Amino acid sequence: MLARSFNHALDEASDWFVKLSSGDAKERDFIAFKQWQEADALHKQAWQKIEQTTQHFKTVASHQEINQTLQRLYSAPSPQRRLALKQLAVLISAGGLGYAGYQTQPWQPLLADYRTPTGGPQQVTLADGSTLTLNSASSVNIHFTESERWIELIAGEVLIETAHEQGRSYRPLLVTTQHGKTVALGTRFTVRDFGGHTQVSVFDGAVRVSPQNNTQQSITLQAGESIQFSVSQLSQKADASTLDALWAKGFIVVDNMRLDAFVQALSRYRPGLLQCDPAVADIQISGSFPIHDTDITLQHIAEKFPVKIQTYTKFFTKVSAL
Amino acid sequence: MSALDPSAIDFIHTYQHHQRWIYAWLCKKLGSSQDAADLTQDTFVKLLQKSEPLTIAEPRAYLTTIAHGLMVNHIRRRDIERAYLEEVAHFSPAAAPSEESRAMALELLIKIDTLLGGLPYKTQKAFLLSQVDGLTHAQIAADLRISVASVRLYIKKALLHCVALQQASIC
Repeated sequence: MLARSFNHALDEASDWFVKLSSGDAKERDFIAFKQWQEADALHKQAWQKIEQTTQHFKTVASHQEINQTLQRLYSAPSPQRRLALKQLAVLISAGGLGYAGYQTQPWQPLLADYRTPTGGPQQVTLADGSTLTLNSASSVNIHFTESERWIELIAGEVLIETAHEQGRSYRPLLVTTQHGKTVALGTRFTVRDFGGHTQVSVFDGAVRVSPQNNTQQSITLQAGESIQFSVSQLSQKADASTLDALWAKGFIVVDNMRLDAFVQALSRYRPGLLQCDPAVADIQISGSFPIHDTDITLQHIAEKFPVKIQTYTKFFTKVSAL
Repeated sequence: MSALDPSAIDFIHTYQHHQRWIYAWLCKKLGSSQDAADLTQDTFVKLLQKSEPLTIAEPRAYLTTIAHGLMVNHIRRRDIERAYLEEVAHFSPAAAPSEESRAMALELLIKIDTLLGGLPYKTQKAFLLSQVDGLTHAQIAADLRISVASVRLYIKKALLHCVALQQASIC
């Protein structure tokens, strides 16, 4: 009978696992899960089994090259896609965690040449020597031809540092999103797709931005400038702060930011749900915080401010009052 | 194993009779005499580990089954290793993983392949997209063009499959 009831507990535990990792579990679900887990020693044991097994997959998520190998093993890319993948010449750094809470176009990210899970940024050197840093939960397709270097941002954000190509005729480098295109004029800049609009910020050199359906309206941005645009409209220029590109170095830097806004910014780099208790939302916070390991960052916040970090399974974390 | 042990005599007898054709068969299948020699050894080691007596009615069929199983594992391992090496071939020398991390990565990949290997394609994919890439069920459903209810079903199926394998300590 024992074996049978353990199997029953395992079945229930797997239902919980599916629910909690679905991406739409609410706080009450985590509380209900906690109660279920505490209710019976068999429930605890069953959950432990599931955690032991899923641990292996968590390890894969933090090693980009292992994840890419699995994607290679469990798919059959066409010859053209294989070629495109080869054009992503050098993978410089790797790291990151699973999960993504971002808005995407259906199926596109799966077919992307390069994509990052939620977690720390990853850097890629392209065949022309330009470097591409992908932020958390981002994906791009690379299309290099004789006449152009086209980077298609499908989701998320990239920082681009263009290289001067040696020994060949000039090929323009352009980045497109669903909202329009940005042509680089020898430069360092970020492009982020927010879903409803795209934001471009320039740190060195200049770029030319054109909305998808209104190419008449293109505009040149200089270093220190940023702009937002939809498929048909450009916003006013605003200042671009170099702090905004520090994610590429693995940090978020904030100056007197509200804790709830900070928690929201951090949640971009963290699997599962991360929430801030309204009771502590207006604590002001400043400093630079690592994004590769958000556990460390949260621990640090708990040491410096009168808050505690409550974790209910790996899928739900709450920053709340002491 | 003493020289007088009848099962040892049986084993030597079986080995002498069958070693050559198994080796030849594996050579033909694998196209490598080195790999074939290794797997021939492994086949007989497996045979020794079997608890049942060696009086097998159809020794050729029996040995072929063992050798075939080993060969499939061997080829899969080789494919996994090749896929991984192709993946890290693009790394700059400074970022290339050490021998130790390579070995660990291969061990993990083989483990995952053992866990997920027997499952249908969409079940594998749904589970990996959820657990490794952290996509939500709605995103997986859109990616794989299936319903959210199927995503839930596939993930649960894959999870219970992996837990069962892990428990049976097959890996």
